[in-house]
Amino acid sequence: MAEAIRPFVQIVEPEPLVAHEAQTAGLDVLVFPKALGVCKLRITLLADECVFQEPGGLTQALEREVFCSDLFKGILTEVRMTLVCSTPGSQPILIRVYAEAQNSEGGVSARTPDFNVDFRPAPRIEDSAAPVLPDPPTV
Amino acid sequence: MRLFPGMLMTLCGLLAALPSAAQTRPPEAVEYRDGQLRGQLPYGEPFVLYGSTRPPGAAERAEVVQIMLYEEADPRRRRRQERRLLGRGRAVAAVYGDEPVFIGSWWAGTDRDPGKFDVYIGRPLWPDTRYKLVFNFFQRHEINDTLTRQIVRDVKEGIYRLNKRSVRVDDVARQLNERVARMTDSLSFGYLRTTPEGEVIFDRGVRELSLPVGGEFAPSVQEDIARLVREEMALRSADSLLRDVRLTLQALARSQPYLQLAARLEDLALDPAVRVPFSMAEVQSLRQVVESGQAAADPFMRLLPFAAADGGALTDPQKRLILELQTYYQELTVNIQTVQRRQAAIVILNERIGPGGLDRIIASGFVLAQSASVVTTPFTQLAEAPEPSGNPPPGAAQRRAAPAEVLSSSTGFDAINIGTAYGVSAVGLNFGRPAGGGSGGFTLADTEPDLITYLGVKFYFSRVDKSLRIADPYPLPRDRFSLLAGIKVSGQLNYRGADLGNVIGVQPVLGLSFDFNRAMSLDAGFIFFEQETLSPLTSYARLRAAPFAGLSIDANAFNAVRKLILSLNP
Repeated sequence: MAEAIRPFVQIVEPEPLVAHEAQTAGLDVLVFPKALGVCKLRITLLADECVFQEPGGLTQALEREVFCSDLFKGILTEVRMTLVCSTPGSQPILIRVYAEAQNSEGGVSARTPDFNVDFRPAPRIEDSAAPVLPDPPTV
Repeated sequence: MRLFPGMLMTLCGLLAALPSAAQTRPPEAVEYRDGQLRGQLPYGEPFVLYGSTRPPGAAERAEVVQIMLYEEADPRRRRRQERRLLGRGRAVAAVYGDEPVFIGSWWAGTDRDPGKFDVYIGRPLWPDTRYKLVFNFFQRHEINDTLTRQIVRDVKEGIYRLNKRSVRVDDVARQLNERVARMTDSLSFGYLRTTPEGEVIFDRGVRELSLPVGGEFAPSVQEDIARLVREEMALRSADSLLRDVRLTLQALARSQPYLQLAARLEDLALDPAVRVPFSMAEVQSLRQVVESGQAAADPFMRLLPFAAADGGALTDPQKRLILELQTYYQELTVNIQTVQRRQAAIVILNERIGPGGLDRIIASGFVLAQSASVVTTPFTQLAEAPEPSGNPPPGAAQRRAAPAEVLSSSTGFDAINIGTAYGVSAVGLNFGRPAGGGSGGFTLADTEPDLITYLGVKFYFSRVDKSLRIADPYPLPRDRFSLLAGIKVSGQLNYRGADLGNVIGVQPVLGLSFDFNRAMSLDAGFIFFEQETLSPLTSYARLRAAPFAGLSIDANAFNAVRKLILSLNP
């Protein structure tokens, strides 16, 4: 049996991705599964004090799936992620992530080069305040 | 006699004007040479202290010379002790204040003589007072790449020692604070800094071992260093990935399936009978990627659709191999680009941190010269005389650590300590009595004022030189008092209608004077006179005194005449 073709995965620039504490950020990932069917995508965090916050709990690596219908085309997908860090402090924490993929044939990609993510404390309330709506017109 | 007061006033005015004529001359200059002052410290006016920029025993010139002036804390006590010990040949120690009364600095510049410093001492000194002078010699140190790199390297090593995969800017700030504080701690003699007004001062405040990280300058430097560390970590990772890809490609390039595929693709590209969408150039690009591991133009743009079209020219394993080779090409390209991007980012960050980066840190409140690009270090290049044993001479280490010269000198007193007084006073002879010796009850409105004018001299208890070109020539309030001795000049004194006579031809005045300023005084004391007996039966005179209080002007006539004489006979 022939060895499975390895997929290729790339985290798309620009970097750094700025992720605020406990807020969702999107990471654009380009995947070439090179095998038809479901391709698993894995984003791993290179940080000691930070983790991804997933509905099921906290994790050091999050997984997503993309479906491949064309062997020769890449799929651009946005991975939504939420980061939380212990003792975030007032200054940024500079972290890195990398991505890997596994296609339906079991081929595992090489890991991507490190991608820079700036973790910043949550913006202050006044910074993210809702815009003031104008008064309704009077008849 | 009536003209006399007017003439006297005119004379006083002329005499008072004399010192001001000398105010246009340049400031006094005192030389510091071989650890000694040449000449006496002048007092009462700013002066220039100049000397060699090469400290005694030093091999190199200093580029910054700082002079700190400490004033004697209690010169009167020292003078009293000196008077008591006069002639016994024993020195009296002076006690100096803890804080310098003046700090001045000289900075070497392109337009200055590097061998000679001159510091304008803008704070006039007091007469007959001792001063301790501390000369600090510094060398300017450019905040160049070497120093910057040294500190940044130390900070980075500290971050790496934390052995963390993430980089906290807070950690960088702490490391940076520690190292900059350590560096500035090595400057043993205090810190020069510029005030908001641009004056270079000696900062004697207790420094905290931290930088104001909340300032405008600091976060960017700290963040830049943190980013630099992260880029270096990422670069190492990308380098490792690139090396792995190239090793894999090297192995692949020697494999039979690849060699057969490359040969087949070349045949197809060269065979005129077969029309393929790719060219020989693309096959060569593929060979370059696989066989040399170098980036090349994308060979798969038309090769991949050709393989996908399944025209029968390639076997299925060859089609899979093309797909696999594309993966390697993508990995190779991405990793090469990443390495290049990381390297470029590291260059940019290093440039940004560079000399300017450290300037921003140090300028925050530590050492700053007129230029933001220099920082002073203690003058440490003192010459060492070689010892036969090879050991440094005793005290050599201490001298290296303390390149300051300390000496004391005293200002003299170059003036006549006697003032002059010409004043008007009221004598308390007929207080509450009507003029002309009339009778009646107490009446303040009609009281006879008994006004007189008087001329006298004032003997100061302290050494006061009113020719000092400073606003207030009195070191202490008590220095304003003097002993007044004079004579009545005009005005007739009478008591109960009888004129009062002179004592030895004049009516003497004796009292105390308090100087409001160098020209105006409040005088009080007694006027002495003879009073003839009122009884026609007896005829004798008695010495009597009456109190007086008045205001006088002081033309500092003795010193004015002295200066005039000195100017005529230089």
